[in-house]
Amino acid sequence: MPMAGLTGSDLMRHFQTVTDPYTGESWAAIAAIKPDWTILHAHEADEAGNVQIYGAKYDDILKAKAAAHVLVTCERLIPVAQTAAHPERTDLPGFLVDAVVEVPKGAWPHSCEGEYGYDEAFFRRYLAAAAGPDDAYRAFVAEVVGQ
Amino acid sequence: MSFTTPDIMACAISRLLRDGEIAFFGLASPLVMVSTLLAKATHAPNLTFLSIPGSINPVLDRLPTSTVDSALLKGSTGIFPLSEIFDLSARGRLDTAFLSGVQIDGRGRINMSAIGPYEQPKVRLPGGAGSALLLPTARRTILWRTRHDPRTFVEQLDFVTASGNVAWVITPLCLFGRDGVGNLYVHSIHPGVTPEQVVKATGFPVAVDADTLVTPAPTPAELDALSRIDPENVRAAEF
Repeated sequence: MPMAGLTGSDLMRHFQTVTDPYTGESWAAIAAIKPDWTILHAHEADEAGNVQIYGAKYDDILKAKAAAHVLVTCERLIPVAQTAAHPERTDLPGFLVDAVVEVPKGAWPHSCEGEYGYDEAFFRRYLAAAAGPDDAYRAFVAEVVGQ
Repeated sequence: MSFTTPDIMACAISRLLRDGEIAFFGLASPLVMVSTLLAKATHAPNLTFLSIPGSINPVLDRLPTSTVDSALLKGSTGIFPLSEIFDLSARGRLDTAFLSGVQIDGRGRINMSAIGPYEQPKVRLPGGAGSALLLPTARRTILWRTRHDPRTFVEQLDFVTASGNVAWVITPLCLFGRDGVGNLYVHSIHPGVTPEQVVKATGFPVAVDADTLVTPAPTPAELDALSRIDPENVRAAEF
């Protein structure tokens, strides 16, 4: 894909350029990323896979549309009729979604806007464990994954 | 009136912003977030500022330390996501981008990629996070760094992650401008900083002497606005 910018960057050692056939301008050509799966967490999704994210969406929708398969976890599973009452709120249509799992607090230890903030105390524990000896870190991981 | 290094840097950044322009700051930018709010509260009420969560001119009652926090959406009048910000910049409509670099050279180029050889680095850095796309396309970029020493301001970058339209560089010691041929020069040194300190802390040659301008100290009105906007001193979080 052609991209504006990147001129004067050593990153161009790793990229090719293409010429715009209409203007003759040169563009950096970046290979598209095609993930096998995108996994994202949303506020609500219905049984048909329609997804609604409230507030900041960051790059979630782009990532989902780039992937061959999409797995969505959500705070709440809602009826399709509720989605259909406000179709303009659907960020990702169900036909692009492979599976939906209801996982309340599924973004933890990160935040889910309007539901809960990021768990700062947990991240501080993680940082301390990651900076510590290997066995202490492994014990920390076992404790978290076992939760 | 007493002030801190974050105060003078916030004021210096704020004064560079122009009324009516469109500005963007990214992640890990609490100092710039406060500076932008200061500009909007003082001389630039019609400034539009964008952020990673996609906020447009949010009205924040409590400032987050993380500038990717969705708390930045509070009072936002719309959502303009990051992909749209890159498009805006690509078509020449982003007036000011705020970026930084682990290393910065005398031409305002930045390294965010690696210390040592790129293929076998001594330290692998986090990467440019899009700065290679924004630096050449934003109408101007303001760099800031809360550390000013010869390891940061270097003669030669280990890797040029991004190069482009840098107009200003703000540090705890001084404000660099960029001259007609693209080299950084010391525009002003902050109050209390000596020319020798700046020369010693900078890895590339700089011309600075007793005649160099001094960055105006924060005014009482600016300090008053800062304490109102940022009572919890989030602007100091990067130091």
